[in-house]
Amino acid sequence: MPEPLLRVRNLKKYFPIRGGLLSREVARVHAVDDVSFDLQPGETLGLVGESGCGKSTTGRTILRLIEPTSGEVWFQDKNVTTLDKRSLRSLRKEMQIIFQDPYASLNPRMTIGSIIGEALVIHKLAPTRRAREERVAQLLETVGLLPDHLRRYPHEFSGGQRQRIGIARALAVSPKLIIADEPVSALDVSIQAQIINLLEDLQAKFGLTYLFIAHDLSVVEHISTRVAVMYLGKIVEIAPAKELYTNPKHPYTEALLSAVPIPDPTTKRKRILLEGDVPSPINPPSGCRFHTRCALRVPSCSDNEQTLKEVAPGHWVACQVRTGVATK
Amino acid sequence: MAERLLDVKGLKTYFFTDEGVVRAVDGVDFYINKGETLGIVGESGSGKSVTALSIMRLIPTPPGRIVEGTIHYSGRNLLELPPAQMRKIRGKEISMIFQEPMTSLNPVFTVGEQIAEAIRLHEGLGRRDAMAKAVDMLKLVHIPNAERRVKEYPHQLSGGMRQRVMIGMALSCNPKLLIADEPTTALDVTIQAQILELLNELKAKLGMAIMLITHDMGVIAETAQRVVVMYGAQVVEEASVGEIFKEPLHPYTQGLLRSIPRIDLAATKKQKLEAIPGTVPTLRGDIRPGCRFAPRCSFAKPQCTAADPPIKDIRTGHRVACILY
Repeated sequence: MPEPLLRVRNLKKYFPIRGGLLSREVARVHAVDDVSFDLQPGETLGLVGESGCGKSTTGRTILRLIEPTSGEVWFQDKNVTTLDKRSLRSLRKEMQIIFQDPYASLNPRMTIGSIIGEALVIHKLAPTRRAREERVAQLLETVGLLPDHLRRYPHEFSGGQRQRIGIARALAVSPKLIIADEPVSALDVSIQAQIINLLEDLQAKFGLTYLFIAHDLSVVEHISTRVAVMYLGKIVEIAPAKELYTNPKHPYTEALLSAVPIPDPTTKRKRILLEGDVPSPINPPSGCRFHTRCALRVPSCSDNEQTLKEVAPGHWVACQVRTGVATK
Repeated sequence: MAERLLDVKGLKTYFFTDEGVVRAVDGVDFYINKGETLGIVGESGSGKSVTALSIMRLIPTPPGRIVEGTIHYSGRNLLELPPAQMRKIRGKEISMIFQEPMTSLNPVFTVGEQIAEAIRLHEGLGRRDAMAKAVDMLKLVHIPNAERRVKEYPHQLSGGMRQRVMIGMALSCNPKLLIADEPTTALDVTIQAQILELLNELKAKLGMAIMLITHDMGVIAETAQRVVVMYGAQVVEEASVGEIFKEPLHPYTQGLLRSIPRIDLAATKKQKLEAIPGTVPTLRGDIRPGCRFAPRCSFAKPQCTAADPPIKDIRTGHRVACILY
């Protein structure tokens, strides 16, 4: 087994809710609650879950765009969580992020050249203006845009083209890891495929490692080597992509997969309809967080916190019923 | 032969803005039969929402205006009705639900008051009876504790619950046609499944027709009987749901179906997605004649850009606007 590129250990992020006269902390949103996983070099780990499950917070906490409450993140041999500002900045050369909204994530008053070139200046990667422009032009070509686009402004581009600019910006510093936070969900269906293909091509070309965060299970299945499913701040199942989609073990994963509409009217599937809504992460259910909506629950599910157990090589599930610890 | 409920012919809705004319809907024909679900698929800017708003006569004027066409509903042209009569149809005969349930509910009234308003207006019931009917509607859309929920405000409900309230409100006067504009796009996939299930159940129970607007081919496959595919403000293909997936004819429909990753084929070998090159066309200003998909089409020939391709019947119920056929 090669050395993982990224190791996340017991990562937690609680957001305080303040209120009252002295703005004291009255409650906490348990956005990410004890998440651990490894990322192997060159792989794509898909992180899926519904809104509010903590998948984006996980991505941002890894980069320390949000400071974690506790836990550790190791990038190769560096502990990201304890780095000072300066070392963190130099580590950002290795880890980059692509955002969901290609409209909001580009400064409308900067040219494409300065948006992509900014990182080159900060990290002193291009000594002269000339060298910088050459590098930016080359990056634009890499992502399928024209080199002479560098003097234009973001509003002159369509959504798909802007996402390409966002990708070029992330690539500028030649990172090893890219965290892609819902990179295609704001795009039209016919454009989504272009961006997915581009991300795959870039991975093959530069040997990139992706943490691919998305709510669209079909997109994640397509692009990922392994997939982790999150529910209310916890990973409930993690497995190689094919294994997870063809042989899901956690009842939440099963329900989630069965809910995806299939673009083929001749397939008839058994749909598992979950009742009610996701409980609040401010006061999550005790024990297994899914027990309030689970068809397989046994009384002890509300008492016992669930940990991931390996049921097949590389296939981990946090469910005491399905891993045979408790029986119905 | 099924009876036609709504017949749209040659509809053109333009927006006259300072930056020029936006041809949001540019010559659209389709019909809806009684009790069927018609899916309208298209990407952003294809004109599907503006078509829906045109049927409801809710186009903001100015800048928008329906410049041409007819919309016949039960034999009457909606575009010629005086406003007072249109109000009697809107919400009673034809009602609509929107993508974002939070922005379509009024935050300062309880959900009960909002449902009761339509009932009092259209059915002439008194306050107390209308409230009782509102509770019934919440029960119909499976909202637990309907008696308590009816007194709550929209912010107290989750996204899925709000969409249920919207559906309850839309169905409170027994409409014959429900227009659902991306009703599940803002919702999580498990909640989407609940709402689609609810719509299918209510359609079977109440027998209304549904015009379902979506960009999601999966949603179409699971709910619609017939499909209209829109591209660049026009209809490019129309067929039964079985045919559109089995034998799509228009290169755009074919490309769209090939570009979506398929979760149900996870067990088979992975293939690269076939992306459609280029970008969605803008509808602003002068539009060159010819097929609007031609710049992105791999089958494009010189004559594609010479004139608009006419929409042709290929077989019963399957029409396509492409010179290949």
